[in-house]
Amino acid sequence: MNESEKTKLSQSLKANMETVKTIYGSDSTLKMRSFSNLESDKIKCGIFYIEGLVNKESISKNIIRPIIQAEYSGEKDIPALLKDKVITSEHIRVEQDLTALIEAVNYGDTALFIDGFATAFLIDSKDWKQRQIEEPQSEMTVRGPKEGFTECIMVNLSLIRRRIITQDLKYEFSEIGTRTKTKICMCYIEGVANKNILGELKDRLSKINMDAVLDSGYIQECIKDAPMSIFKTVGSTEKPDIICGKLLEGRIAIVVDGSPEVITVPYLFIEAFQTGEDYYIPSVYGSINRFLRIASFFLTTMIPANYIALVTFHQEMIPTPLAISIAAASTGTPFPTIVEMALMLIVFEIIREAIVRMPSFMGQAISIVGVLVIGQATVEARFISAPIIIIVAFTAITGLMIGKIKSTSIILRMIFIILSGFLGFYGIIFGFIVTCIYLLQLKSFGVPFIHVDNSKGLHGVTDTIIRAPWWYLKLRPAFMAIDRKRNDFKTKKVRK
Amino acid sequence: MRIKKCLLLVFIISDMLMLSGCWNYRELSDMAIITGIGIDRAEDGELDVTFEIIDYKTASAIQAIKTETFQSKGKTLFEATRHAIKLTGMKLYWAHAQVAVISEEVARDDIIPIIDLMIRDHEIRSDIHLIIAKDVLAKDIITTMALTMNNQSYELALMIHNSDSSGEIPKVHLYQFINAMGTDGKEPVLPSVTLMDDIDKKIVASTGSAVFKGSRLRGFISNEETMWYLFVTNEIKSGLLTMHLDPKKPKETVSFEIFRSETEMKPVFSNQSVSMSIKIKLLVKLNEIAGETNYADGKQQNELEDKASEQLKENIMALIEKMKKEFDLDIFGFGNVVYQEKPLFFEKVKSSWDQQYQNLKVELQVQVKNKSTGVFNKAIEGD
Repeated sequence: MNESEKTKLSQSLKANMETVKTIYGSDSTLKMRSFSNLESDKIKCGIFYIEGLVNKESISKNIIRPIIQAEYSGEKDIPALLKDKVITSEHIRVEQDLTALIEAVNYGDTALFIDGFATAFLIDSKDWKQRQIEEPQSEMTVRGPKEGFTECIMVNLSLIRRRIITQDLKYEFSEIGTRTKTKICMCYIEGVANKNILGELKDRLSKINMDAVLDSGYIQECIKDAPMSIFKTVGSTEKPDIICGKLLEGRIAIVVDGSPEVITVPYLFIEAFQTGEDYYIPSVYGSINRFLRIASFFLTTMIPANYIALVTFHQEMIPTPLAISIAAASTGTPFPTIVEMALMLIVFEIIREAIVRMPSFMGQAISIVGVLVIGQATVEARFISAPIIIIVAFTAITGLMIGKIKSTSIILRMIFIILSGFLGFYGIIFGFIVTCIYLLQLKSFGVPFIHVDNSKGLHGVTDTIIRAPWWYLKLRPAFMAIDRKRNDFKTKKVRK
Repeated sequence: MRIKKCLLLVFIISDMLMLSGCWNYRELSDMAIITGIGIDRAEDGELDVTFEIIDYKTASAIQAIKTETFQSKGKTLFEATRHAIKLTGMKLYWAHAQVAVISEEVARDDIIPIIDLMIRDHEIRSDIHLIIAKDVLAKDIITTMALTMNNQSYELALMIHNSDSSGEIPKVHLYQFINAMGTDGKEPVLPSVTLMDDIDKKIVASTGSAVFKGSRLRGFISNEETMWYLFVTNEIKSGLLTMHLDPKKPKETVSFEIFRSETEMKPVFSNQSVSMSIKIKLLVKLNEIAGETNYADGKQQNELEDKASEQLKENIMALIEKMKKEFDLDIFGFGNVVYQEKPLFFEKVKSSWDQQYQNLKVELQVQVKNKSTGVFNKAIEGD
């Protein structure tokens, strides 16, 4: 038998069932059942399904019982009869290809063979155990919806659909991954999303040729503009309200089956500092929080480098009492300042990574040990000078503010430390200029990464450093949306 | 190919960084931070420099930072600094030095060889304070224990810094001193200190100012006279005026707290000569009556103000006369003011300004305005 014949169904039920059994081998999750109609033996069927992926009651109620109890009045076209009038499942489709049949059954459908016909039906009976909708650990909020995506693509899509009811919300399904055949769905709002970006995205998705896509992160990496860049140019989030907000701004979301992280395209630098909560709390507090986040990013990347530059190259710039305190605190310590700083930062990263992975009951103990041992004891034993511990602690805390861009800040921090260790402030300024130039030329799907919006008025500022009140957020971000007009508040005073 | 290029770039950059070293990398704890110096003349004509550096021996989180002093010799200040490495083992760091005490002997000789390093070197701040040690060696000043902190140099710097409140110490940075030296028609002035006996120890106290002719010390004026000098040059920010307003009651003194003082110096030209007209306006508050006469009486305020103005005018004129006749030093900058108004005129008389200055007519007007008498509007009655 050649390849095409292998995937063809035969007209004999027995032969089909044998083929399936051979494919699955000694897999006992495969369940098969043959049955026929009460009245007539002409309707002879066989089903197979995978245990654990199906709702057994629905199979017996919607497939087996109706077929067994059906009234047969001698129609010739048995498949049509079964499909239209007998099977009471809410979803049924015809499938002629054996490979597609197996794949669908592996996902939770039930396959139905009919003796004497070379067609098979795939009946939807998906029901498996999955995680409840709960608040995502990585994106906790105080104010705002606390639902998070789960691993099932249909559930995720339903969370999005419920929030954007208009018919303009379009879903486009496709499959990626030659062995995993992972379902993905592109979501966008027609009339708002940019057609060019959509076309580019489809093009890049079609070029992905991997055998496994287990998480949306795989796709993120493959469609990125600058694959080796430390800056993320494709964003991801776990919260449906944030996805809906981004869709309404003209972005395109890709939901990947098996992953609770939904990726959004294009992704700009400023989005790392925007959270959903900024929009739910009054604009003043939202602006303060956003400003704090941006300031924290700069602090966490630059403070260690600035300290090293001040203390080792430009001691005359430190106020005299501070200089004396630092000098007195660092006498007797064996390592040069830059080595101390790098050492402490690496130790901190190790502790942080370790605490994230361990069970929560150990986490408390380890954090206390970490603080006491590392901080207190090394200073008392005169391994590390106390100002270094203060700097590292402050860097760590400001780093916690900016969870979305943390890995970037770690690498940037290290680069700045090396530069400042060699060249002092010259090195830092040089690194800063290079980083700025790099960021300004970076693009995410054709949209500039650092987005300078020079449309009329102060629209560029209204949603970046601050979060302006809704009556000022009249336009969507530039370059992305076709229809930029977002809302049409005539006046901000609603009361008379 | 692209990987090769990247790798090549990485190697080039890392080689550049490794081979060129770290430019100017210095650890803060490897440097001896100088807080102040004292300069004396040794017997063989060289300089004896006393350095006060931060002491790392006793430095810990709990104790306050202490200082150490040591002496080093050299023909010039720079040589003395370098020789200090033989004594401490650490290179000296000048950037936080705030005070340089210079002994009278060195200043009378010529101060320029001492201060050239300070203005030329990149590490020494140009706003370092210069102080003259009167009657004692600069070494004694620097090595005396300070009163309020562990650091004598910083205490001296603080004394000069807070001189705004007392009005009796001239606040002179190095660059201001050098500017004054270079200005024709103005002679520089530096604060002076000496050792005084306190209850059971010696402490450093300010004794007024040292007046210079160019770069050579000429003489000293007292604390009080410094105050009159600061009045004329419009540098009084706050201070105290203590006066005996009634010649019949010499024991009674009245204290005024100065809030504001404005001085206007104008040259008045006539024919080929010039005279100075100085107008001083003060805003004071009657703060203390050490006696029983009710100076705080509301009806007598005008009289009070007139009396105070008279007294102040007398004092200031006395100092101006003293500087003219006794010292022949134009520390007030009259010549400079003439130059600002009519530069060509001053150019002509510049060479004979010293003689002209001695006979310079100065017209002084002082106006004291008393704004309040405190929270008590009469004198305390005794009987």
